[in-house]
Amino acid sequence: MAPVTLTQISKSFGAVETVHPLDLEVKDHEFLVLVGPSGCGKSTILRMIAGLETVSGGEVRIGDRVVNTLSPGARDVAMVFQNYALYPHMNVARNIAFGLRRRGMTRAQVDEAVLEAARLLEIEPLLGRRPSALSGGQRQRVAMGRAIVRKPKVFLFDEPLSNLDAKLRAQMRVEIKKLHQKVPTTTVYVTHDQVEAMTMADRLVVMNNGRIEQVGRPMDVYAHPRTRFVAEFIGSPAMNFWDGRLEAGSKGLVFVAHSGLRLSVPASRQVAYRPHLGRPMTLGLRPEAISVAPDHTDARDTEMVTIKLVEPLGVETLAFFDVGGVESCARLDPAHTPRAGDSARLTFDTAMMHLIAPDTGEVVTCEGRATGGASAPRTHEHVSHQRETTP
Amino acid sequence: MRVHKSPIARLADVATYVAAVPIAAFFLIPLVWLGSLAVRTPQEIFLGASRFIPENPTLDNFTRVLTDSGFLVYLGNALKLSALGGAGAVLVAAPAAYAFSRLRFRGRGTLMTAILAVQMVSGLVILIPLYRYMGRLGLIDTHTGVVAIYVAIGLPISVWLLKNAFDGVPMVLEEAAAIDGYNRFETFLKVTLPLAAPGIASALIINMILNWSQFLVPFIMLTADSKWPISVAIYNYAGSTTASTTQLLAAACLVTIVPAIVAFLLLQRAIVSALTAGAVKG
Repeated sequence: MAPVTLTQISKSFGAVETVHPLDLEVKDHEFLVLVGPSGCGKSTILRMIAGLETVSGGEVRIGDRVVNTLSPGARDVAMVFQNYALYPHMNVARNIAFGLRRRGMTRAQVDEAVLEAARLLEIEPLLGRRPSALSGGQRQRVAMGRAIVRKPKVFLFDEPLSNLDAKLRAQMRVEIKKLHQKVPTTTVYVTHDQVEAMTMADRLVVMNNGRIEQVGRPMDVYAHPRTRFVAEFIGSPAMNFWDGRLEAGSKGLVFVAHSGLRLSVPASRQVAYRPHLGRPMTLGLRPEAISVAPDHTDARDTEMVTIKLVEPLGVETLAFFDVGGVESCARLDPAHTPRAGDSARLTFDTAMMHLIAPDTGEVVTCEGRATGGASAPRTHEHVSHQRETTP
Repeated sequence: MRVHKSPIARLADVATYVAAVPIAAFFLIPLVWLGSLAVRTPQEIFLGASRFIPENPTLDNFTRVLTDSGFLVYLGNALKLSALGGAGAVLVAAPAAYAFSRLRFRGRGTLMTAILAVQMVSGLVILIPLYRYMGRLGLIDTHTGVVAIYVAIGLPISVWLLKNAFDGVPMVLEEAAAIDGYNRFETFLKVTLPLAAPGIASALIINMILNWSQFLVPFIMLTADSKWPISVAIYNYAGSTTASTTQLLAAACLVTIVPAIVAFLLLQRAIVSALTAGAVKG
């Protein structure tokens, strides 16, 4: 096991730069998730660590060794691919043993290691089968078996669950995490699924257009996104955004959306947001910050809306409504959810608001500035989310 | 469930048969005629087409042909030349096909087309220079020389067929092997080659069938009759034939084409899939 350090690594395909120079450190034993939409460069980074892709610039270090010029086999990494990449002409045992044979282990040692891995992943009965005779979940386990049996310094996972159905995906998510607890090898895990990223990561790296948007612990990234992209990408359903401007009210700053929706800025953010007074801004609010107002009170930070659609999910219900033509979503208590077509007064908890500069897409921090550019990522690792009170 | 076809579809079916039957007949009638001749007695040969189905059909002609030691030598030569030529073409084509399949380099597409263009050059055009060339190398009247020419002739189509076969092996398997610690050559041997085996086998069979029916090259290059393959031997046999041996010639011809037909029928599915690999998304 070893840390992985990327220093100013970049990747270009001809004139197209798919990964812009970036720095990233994966700590020893850490489970780091690279998340982002398709084409954001996350898989390219993984492949550069694996040695399957050359590095156009910068340095990849595994432990103390610079591995830029080493072949994939010499880097001591193991990789689980999206479509499993099991050798179809070999049975499960030979698939798992394939990497061991190359290392000059005796037959007895190989057999023992294969059995141990098979036991750990509960695939012993499958050892004699060919990959074509396995289900998707079983193939995934075998692929993991092939990775862990070598006891590599680093595990690399390239969207390993995206070919599985939703139920199996949730199950395998848990199993991969359990496996990491049993075998705490440094892991880099690539996914486009933000649920996977949130639930599995010790730290997650949100990527967009070949750049790191934000690095941090999942809940920190969720609560304190640095950019609109992160705010929108992390969290399901996505954050609501309303365009408007900051105005001075009788009791401090107020965000007035183009629709007329008025939301007061919490006391703790008055100073920080003041420099943006009068400027066009975007307000972001997660669906869970919206609830049904008690007894139709015409209190502040409430709005009468018509519920257009209701999605009951059991533990919660999603209600969709329009705010000035912008479709918005609230995550409501199923016991108190209006029906589609009903009018309802909703209350907006502005303690959880995010103010975004629309021109740069950066979230205004509590210190008052829009956060730095994507090329100089700043982590929110030690920021804990505290609910603030409105004045 | 019975599917009712529209009148246009039925008309199209009829048109297909109207076109297909004469085409099939065009190719089959000579074969059937050959079959008719091969089971006749010498007397019935003189009746020509007037008695298509012989009154006293006999397999004696086949017995005589197959027990003739010379004939077996010619068959053996043909088998040897086509097998070695086919294997050689596949062996030489494999690295080129692998490179075309896996490596990205400038002029790749043009080079692939250029290789295919070579296939279009008729053997007749290059036969005289080739003869002189082989003469210089001292390979006239040797099986080595003929095999070398077969390899060269079979190369373009083999490169294309093998490229398709390698394209069918997912790249990710080679990447997995690379991470497992294998170099490119080891990966080629242990992963790519076994998985491309059906395509490679098809390429080999296609080459062998093409070589089996080669006439011009062995006819020009080989003079000693002990070295002739069956195609040349039959021609020379026919050249000296009289009406009294026509039935034997017909039997010999049938025996000669049987291996190619059997090989094709047995492996038809593999051959067709090799020829059409990559044509449609699998």
